Amino acid sequence: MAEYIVRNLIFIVIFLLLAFYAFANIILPRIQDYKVKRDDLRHTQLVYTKETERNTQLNLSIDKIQSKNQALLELLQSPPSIKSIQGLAQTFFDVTSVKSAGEKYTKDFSFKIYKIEGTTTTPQTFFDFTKKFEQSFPSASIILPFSIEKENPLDETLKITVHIQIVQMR
Amino acid sequence: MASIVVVMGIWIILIFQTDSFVFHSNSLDKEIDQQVQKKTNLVAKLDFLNMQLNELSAIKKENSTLINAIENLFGLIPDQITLNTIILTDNTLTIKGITPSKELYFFLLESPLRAIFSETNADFFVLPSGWYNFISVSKIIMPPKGDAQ
Repeated sequence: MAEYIVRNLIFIVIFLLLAFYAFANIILPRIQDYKVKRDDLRHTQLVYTKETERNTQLNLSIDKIQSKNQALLELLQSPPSIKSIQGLAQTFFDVTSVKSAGEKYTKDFSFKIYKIEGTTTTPQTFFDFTKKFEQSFPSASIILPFSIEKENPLDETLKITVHIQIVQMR
Repeated sequence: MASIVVVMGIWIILIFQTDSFVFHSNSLDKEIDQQVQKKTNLVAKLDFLNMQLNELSAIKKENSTLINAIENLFGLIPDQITLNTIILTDNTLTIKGITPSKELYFFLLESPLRAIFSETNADFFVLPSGWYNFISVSKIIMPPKGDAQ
């Protein structure tokens, strides 16, 4: 009987030692590794979610800007022709000449310059033209030099010379 | 024996789960790289859009400024003075016209021109009527670059 009890006690001690060893050197490191990898995955998921959300917001911003300014942006791709500007000017004063006056370039844009000459009897027609021009051709601008001259002092006819610059994406 | 089986079972489950975490983490890393690249492209696209809109805004501002300047210029001319010519370049304004007297020109037109331009000069030619033809040239002189002022 005593021998039986002692033998069982020894087995229990050995079992407990083995269990402790297994837990401390096999299971516990594996649990630690599990936790580290799980936290790593969570962190990675968080980063992925943030990046995806940021890109979604960027996309939304871009879509919003594009839809709000679609007409203007299209003008830079397909600028108005000088003929259409000439047509508008003709409704305000008598256009006598339209000539190309050169081109300029930057890294992203090209600028075509035209010289429009015409005649009128009052400078007000020129100002009326400029107001309508601003509204109708947002990608074009009036640039210097500009002149209004009375060629004949005995005549009320005024000669207008104005330069127009049309910008386009390169 | 049962204990050993239980321990082995826990160990195997932990291995599989850990490997799954690593696998998913690596997949997400690749997705993140793609999202970062996508972000770079989107930021470039946004910058491009803003650059275009800034150019259009600058055009609108320049147009308004120039048109207002020309309107104000005409507003400067007093009723007593008759204009025959206005020529406006980037830094020079030339006005030709008729004035009843030099004093009227100096008081009503040259004073406001001096307030706007760096220098202004006028030449007068008397007419048979006693009035004067005048040619006024006003200039804006830009300070040289690197000037301390």
